[in-house]
Amino acid sequence: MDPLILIEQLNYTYPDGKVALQDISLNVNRGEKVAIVGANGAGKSTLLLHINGVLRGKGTIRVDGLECNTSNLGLIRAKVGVVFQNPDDQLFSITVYDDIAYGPRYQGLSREEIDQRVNKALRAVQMDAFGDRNPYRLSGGEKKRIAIATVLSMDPDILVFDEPTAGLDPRARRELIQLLQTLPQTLMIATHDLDLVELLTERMIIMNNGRIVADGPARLLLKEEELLLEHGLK
Amino acid sequence: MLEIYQSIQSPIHQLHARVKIVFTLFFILAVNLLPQHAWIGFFLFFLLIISILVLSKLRLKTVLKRSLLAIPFLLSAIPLIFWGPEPVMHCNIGGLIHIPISIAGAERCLSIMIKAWISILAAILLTGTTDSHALFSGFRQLKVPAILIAIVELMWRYLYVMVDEVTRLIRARNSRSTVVNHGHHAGGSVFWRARVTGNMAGSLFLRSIERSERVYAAMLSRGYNGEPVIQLNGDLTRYDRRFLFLSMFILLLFLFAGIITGR
Repeated sequence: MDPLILIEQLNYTYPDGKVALQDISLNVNRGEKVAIVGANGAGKSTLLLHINGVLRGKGTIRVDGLECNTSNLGLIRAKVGVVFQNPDDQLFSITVYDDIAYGPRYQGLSREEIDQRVNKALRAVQMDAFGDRNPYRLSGGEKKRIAIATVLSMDPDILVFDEPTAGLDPRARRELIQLLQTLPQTLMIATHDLDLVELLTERMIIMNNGRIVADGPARLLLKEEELLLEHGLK
Repeated sequence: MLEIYQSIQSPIHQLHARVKIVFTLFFILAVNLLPQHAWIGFFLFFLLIISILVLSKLRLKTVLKRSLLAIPFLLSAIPLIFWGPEPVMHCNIGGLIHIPISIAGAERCLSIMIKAWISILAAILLTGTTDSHALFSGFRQLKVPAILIAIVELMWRYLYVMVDEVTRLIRARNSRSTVVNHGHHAGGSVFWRARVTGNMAGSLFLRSIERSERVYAAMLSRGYNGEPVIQLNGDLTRYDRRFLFLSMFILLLFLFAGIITGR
């Protein structure tokens, strides 16, 4: 069976000349939960932004068999839901409902279907009663949940998270991890929160200076103190 | 993307910021004092600014691209062609559409376009050869009110932050602007998209206000009193003075030439 995400020989250099990704190759199978860890500037976020074609480097990327090119971008983005680090970037409507409905509305779904999708997404993040609220006025943890709901409403196969627990208080963080555990989708999470990796993902990829330096079972890699120290994770 | 200054070694880069500011202001003033039909004058000023641009070693492609900034001014002059004074030529298209074209209006429009474009080139020369720190310091030495400089300086500093924020917002929206293979028309109506864009602008505005308050609090806590602590540029050198006198002389000469030869 083909992997859900296939990345081969991916290289990316920022317009200012900074090399961000070098020779990245990896496969992710359906249902896998993968953590991408690394110190700041290791290239985690840059890699994630390639999966839905926001950034376009040199190399091959295939999502569910679809080549990542201009004509497939819309379809690929419907399969890959990206939850950005700062929920404020993702929430720009006056009500939570409108924000969650953005994806389905853009897809041109019917009013009933949009309504169903929004309510289902709100239930999935346990925020049923928040539809009429202004996202701007919510707490950090609540905003994060709504940001997740905004991508769940597109019914994606893959969920991509950039630093999901950054800036959350301990309770909001714990609740978020519990929520992530309930999600059935394939998960790719960029983080340096090793507790989250231990609780949530079975596979861990370590990045440093734009390269993959380790890829294996999280429970084994997490025990390699020296490796973690060397790559700025401890 | 926003960086306008190009760090190169050139006779123009070496000049003191004050000299370049004064030259630019007088240049723009002189160009705009030329009468409408002073074609020779326009040509002389164009020649002058192009010569200095060549001396400054700025990349011509970048300069021309930046000069597109003049387009709004150019567009605003176009109505003069149709609503200018007599004599008016009448153009008929297929006997149905009747368009009046004023010769004097067209000349006036062309004059405005040339003046706008040459003025923009002078401004590009100034900002391309002077880094922002030296530029603000030059304005301070020329006794421009401190509050005006502080506003522009902070705006310049936070423009970059703002562009980053806008990039992230648009990136997040694009990630959710998706297509499904159900034969639905994707993209939504123009009205709905306009509303979403409006909401994004509103959200950016709110966040900017909050951020500015945080930044201001941080500035106050470090003793900010409305005047940033800066080091002023040094004094004018002999080279600066020579350039200033020579350039003022040429500007006056060209202005007279333009006024005499123009109608």
